[in-house]
Amino acid sequence: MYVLLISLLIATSASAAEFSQMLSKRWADIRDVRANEMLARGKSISEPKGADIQVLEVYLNGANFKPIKDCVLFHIPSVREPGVIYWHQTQIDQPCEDYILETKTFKKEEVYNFGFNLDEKELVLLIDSTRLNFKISDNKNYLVSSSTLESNLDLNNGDICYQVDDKCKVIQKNKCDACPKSFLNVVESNCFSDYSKVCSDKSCGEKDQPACIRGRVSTGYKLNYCIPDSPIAFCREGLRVFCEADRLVCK
Amino acid sequence: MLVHIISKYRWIALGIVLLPIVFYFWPKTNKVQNSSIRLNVDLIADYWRFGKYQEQALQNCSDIPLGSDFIRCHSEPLLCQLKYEKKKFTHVLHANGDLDLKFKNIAIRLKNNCHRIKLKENIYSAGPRDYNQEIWSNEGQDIKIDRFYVSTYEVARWKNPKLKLSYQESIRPALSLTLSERKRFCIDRGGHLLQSHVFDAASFFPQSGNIGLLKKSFYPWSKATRLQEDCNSFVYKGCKFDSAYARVGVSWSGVFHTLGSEVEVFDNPMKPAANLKLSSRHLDLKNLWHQIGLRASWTQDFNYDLREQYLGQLESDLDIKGVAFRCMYY
Repeated sequence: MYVLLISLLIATSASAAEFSQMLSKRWADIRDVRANEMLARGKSISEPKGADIQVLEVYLNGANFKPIKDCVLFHIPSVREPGVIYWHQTQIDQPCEDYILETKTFKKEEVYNFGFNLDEKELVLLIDSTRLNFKISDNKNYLVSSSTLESNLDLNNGDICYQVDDKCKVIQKNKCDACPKSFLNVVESNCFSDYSKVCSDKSCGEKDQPACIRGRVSTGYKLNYCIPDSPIAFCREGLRVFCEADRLVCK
Repeated sequence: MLVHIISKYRWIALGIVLLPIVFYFWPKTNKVQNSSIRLNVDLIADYWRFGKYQEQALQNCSDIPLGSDFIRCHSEPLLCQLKYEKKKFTHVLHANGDLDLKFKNIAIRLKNNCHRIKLKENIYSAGPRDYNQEIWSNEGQDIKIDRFYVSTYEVARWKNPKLKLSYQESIRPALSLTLSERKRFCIDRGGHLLQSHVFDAASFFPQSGNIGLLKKSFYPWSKATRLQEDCNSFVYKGCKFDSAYARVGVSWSGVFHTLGSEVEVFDNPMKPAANLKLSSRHLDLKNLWHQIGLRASWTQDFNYDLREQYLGQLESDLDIKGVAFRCMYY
């Protein structure tokens, strides 16, 4: 009886380690994570029992090093059956809800407790008695991909590749490496300490291009940026700063 | 007898039964970042960034000297090292210098950013020492600057990735592209041709106080008003100079060739005609152009205006045979 119990435990542990290793390879370089806002962090997801829900969107590097995402979904355990965590790899513009109930993919069955913790630097999965820690990368020196899925993200010149709002909250994480070639900083909010970025293969200050930034600290200007001849930006000779569609451009 | 033994050692027996159960249910932490996958990637990234290769790996494979700046973020020695380690992989070298390595289960993109330096957030004044009309600040802009000139190797790789150059040919500054080619080169690299006011920001020695009222420094290495008269400080006429990666003319910010070395062109959105630094190895040590912030003009191919463009107090009769450049990045 005792030998049987020990063997069972060892067998189960091996499969947990295997699972952890597979996931660590799959998530070797996480760019960003977005969690279902309805779920409390650090607590086991237990309601509604027997339902399937979207838990996380984990942004990764595709085979072409542009972003793709893993949808993490959970079949919540009920008195009838244990839970199942399942993953679908997909394009970043594909809603994860599309994959609810599609469990024929990478999955972990026999789950009784599943929760997560998330901050800017780390994602922690709490699966029964196991904690799995994943760093959220801000490494600008190299990218890692273990996926065979190529991202179809195709930014064009003029597209925003990083965006902050008036309160400096990051609305769109940086994906400027998906620009065709290069990108520029643009003034399009009242944030003093960060600027949105737009794909461009032109220089700032040129006709119909974003105005070059003179800065707020140097000018001491604290009012709304979005005015003609805004002092916080400048253009090349013969052009003037205008605010068009909330952005300072040169005309 | 048996009952007596069990009774005597019952706590030990219970411990033996319970220990594996307690061990199994003890909360486990799997630090994914410590996995072998991450360690190998880090090792390769360290080779790429710091160039500390095994000497034997480079023998008969690469002529780039260990310890040189040129070895960092360069594909050739890394490929030698990985082949020496008998790694199985394929690779793609991109025109912007990024290197993709594909192994059996994992792919890595190594970014070509070893030679860039971030400009500290501050208020800066562009133009020469006695000119205070171009004040700007870079808070929140995250501007990076090439520390060295763009080299012949980088331009050759941009034009033809398969072209093979010797080390000595490779490290020379690229001097012969047209202005529009230079802009295109920097855009293709994910950046922009270095802007004149950004170069000045990286060159003038920082001062505290109201910047509009300050006298800016003459030289990039300190507030001193005396020129350092030796070829190790900056390269003037008579000094030997053959490498874009020479650590000369260094400024407080870590950018090289801020004084002397080659004539250098910039993009100047504040004053477009003021885009050419004349301080170079072609001018005598005592030449007045050997000061920061002074600019002549290069607007079209072979069309130079060698009058100082900000204050108009200097002229030059320099016969320009080549112009260096570098890029900046947001």
